[in-house]
Amino acid sequence: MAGLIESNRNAFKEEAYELLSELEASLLELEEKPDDRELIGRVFRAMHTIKGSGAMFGFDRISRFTHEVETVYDLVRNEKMSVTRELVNLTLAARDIIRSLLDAADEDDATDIKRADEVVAALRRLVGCEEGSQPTCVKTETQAKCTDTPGNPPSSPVTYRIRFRPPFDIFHRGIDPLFLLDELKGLGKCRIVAQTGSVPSINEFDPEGCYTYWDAILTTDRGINAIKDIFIFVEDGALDIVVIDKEGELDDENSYKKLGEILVEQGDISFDELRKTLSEQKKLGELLIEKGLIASDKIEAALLEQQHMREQKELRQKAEAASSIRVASEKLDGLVDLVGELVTVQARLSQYASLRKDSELLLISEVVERLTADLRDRTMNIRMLPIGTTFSKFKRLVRDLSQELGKQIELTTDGAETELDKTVIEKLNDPMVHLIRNSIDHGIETPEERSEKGKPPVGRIHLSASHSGASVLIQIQDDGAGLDREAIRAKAVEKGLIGPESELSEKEIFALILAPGFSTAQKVTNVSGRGVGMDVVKRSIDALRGQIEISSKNGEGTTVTLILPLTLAIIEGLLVRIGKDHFVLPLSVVKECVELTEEDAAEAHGRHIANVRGRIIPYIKLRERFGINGYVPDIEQIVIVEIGDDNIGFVVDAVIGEHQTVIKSLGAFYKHVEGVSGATILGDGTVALILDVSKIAMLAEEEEKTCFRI
Amino acid sequence: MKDFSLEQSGNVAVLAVSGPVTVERACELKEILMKALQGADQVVFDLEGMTEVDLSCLQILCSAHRTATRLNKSITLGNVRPEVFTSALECSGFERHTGCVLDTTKSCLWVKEKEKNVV
Repeated sequence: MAGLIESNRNAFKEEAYELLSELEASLLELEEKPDDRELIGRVFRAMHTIKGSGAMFGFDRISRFTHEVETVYDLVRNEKMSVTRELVNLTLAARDIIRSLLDAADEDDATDIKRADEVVAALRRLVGCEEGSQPTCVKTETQAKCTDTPGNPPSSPVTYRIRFRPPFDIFHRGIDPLFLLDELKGLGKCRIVAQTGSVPSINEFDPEGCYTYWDAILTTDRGINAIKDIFIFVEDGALDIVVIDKEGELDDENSYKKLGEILVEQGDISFDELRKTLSEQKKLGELLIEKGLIASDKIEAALLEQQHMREQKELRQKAEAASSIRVASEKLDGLVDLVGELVTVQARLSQYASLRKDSELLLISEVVERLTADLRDRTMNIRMLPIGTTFSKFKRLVRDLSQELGKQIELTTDGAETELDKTVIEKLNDPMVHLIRNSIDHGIETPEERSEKGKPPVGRIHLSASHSGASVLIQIQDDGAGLDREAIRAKAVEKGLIGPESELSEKEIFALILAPGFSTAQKVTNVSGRGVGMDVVKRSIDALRGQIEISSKNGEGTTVTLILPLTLAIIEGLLVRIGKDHFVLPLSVVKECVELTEEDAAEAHGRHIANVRGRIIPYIKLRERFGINGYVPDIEQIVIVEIGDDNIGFVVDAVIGEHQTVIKSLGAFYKHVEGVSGATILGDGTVALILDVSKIAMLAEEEEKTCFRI
Repeated sequence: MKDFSLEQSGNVAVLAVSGPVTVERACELKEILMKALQGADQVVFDLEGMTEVDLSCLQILCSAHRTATRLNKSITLGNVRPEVFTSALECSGFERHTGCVLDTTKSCLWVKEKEKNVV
């Protein structure tokens, strides 16, 4: 039992976190469009749900607190209060408190309680002053109770059949029936048919009488009372309401009632008449009209009802089909692991099959290969999430920080629908926060400074995401001051990162800011300048097997591009062999493979340089690097890899080919081994190391430098 | 500009309305429609100038159509239909797929242009 409650509480927490991020987005939008009723409704509903389900699962403090905020939004919703910047600020603060209450749901945190009390007091003050201007406003306590009374409308939609027979003299009472129908339509999805059977010929026609009555089919979640309220000024006999479908009830049946059934149910035709007509095997509706048994408008109403219900059902099914299920991410991880194993075994099967020269086995193995590839893609796809959720979090960050620093900044985003592996997205959050903070703090100037420079006072930060082959590019672009090359250089010399005479390209200079402890900001603000940011960013992106590129123009802004792999679990690799050992290089960086003969090596006089179509390519002998002894083939292979702007060769004995590489981590014991980023299991069960090519290149470069110094 | 005007040439009468056509002017509309139906075999109801319409007008037109059918005459709507009229038709539920029992000539005013098959 306790377990059940616990899992419900967890489900509530998850839901609440989601609602809170929705709430945040709605609030930020509301700040721009304070009159948007839809947005106000969304805010109110989010609060209401958090309050309700919070109370249900014993989160009493959250429920009580949220109640206070909801009360205010109830006033806003009823147009007794308007949305102000102050209100949005307070609500955002309230959102944060609810979040931290959720985080620490089981403990009593005194600071949260104090902050909550402050926000509540501020909200009450806000309501108070609004009330002063509108003496008709009811006290907030009673207001809130209204929304909680048991007669609350049911939340799931119900379909009603309504027959409205207005009295003959309705015009004389000053009521326009069309106006009532229009209101009825406002309640939900509605179809209306006028029944004009009793309209007489024009000689007998009373122009001010009402000869028409109506059949309506309405699907609404507002409850029967809302319908009755509309027709409150016409007497009871005029209205006939029948529930014909509650949410989902009818979905089990194959289709909605037959035309005849509806007509009989309505009392428009007797069952006997129906059966008699049916036996003549013609289209029922036509027959009934031909026979004069029934007026066509009645058929029309029944047909519309049929159609309405069909559409309603379709809609529901569509909604169900599009709906999603919540799965714990561990389960997904488990699935990915299994698929990884499967890919490995499949590789082994393919290898075995090709050796056996058994055409039947080969056929089976090919099918398995195809299915496995599909399965792998689908599984990876499940883990893909649009990056938009991360983007929307930054809206809040930009808003709060720019207010704090007295800057005006507009955040625009692009490519929010770009999908990335869930783990990548999660790990991307911190580095992106750092980069955006940097843009806001160092990049974008104050409005005054901007005006002086002839820029628009409102700065811009643009976030964009896009696919590029097997990678995703994420750009953080600002139109701020840009990077000051000379300052970076001076600082780097001061810190001893570079020699005073060394000549660096623009790219190399910008790359310096990624070094640990590097900050050119003159003073440390609460936002940035402590010099911990950029190297953390670099490390996180490295851990994701990603790259960082920085470009900047002094005075015009900076663009940081993060190049990230789509997924962390499986990569396309190039399988190579040295001696008896196998290694994998990420295929995404491999440019080409060329041969290295002994003569070529001799021509370079012992230096590790190859001439590839006139270009000089330095290479690293992996055999030497990994201390592999044994027979060296006469012709070795150079795998040319692109690292940043440079091409570097890696010399191996043989290139085996493309390989679907399921990445396995090496375990904590091998954490400090440099130049290897993981391992994979090959078809025959042996282990191949996955090479971290940029690291190996860097290490080799450093070694060379030390050699020269000695 | 809130007149009902009736112009007749030969067997065709054109009844043009303008301004609001609501219950306040229902009697007036009935009279002029009766006159039109007496004088001509074919009545065209020109509603281009209509600025407002309510149930009373729709009912009278329905009644006039029934009368015309019985007398082997015809009444049709002009081709220009103001937004107020089409939305009133939709809102009132007058719009339909087939004419009523009395509509023996298949000339019901409320049948949607493109949808003529049912059941």
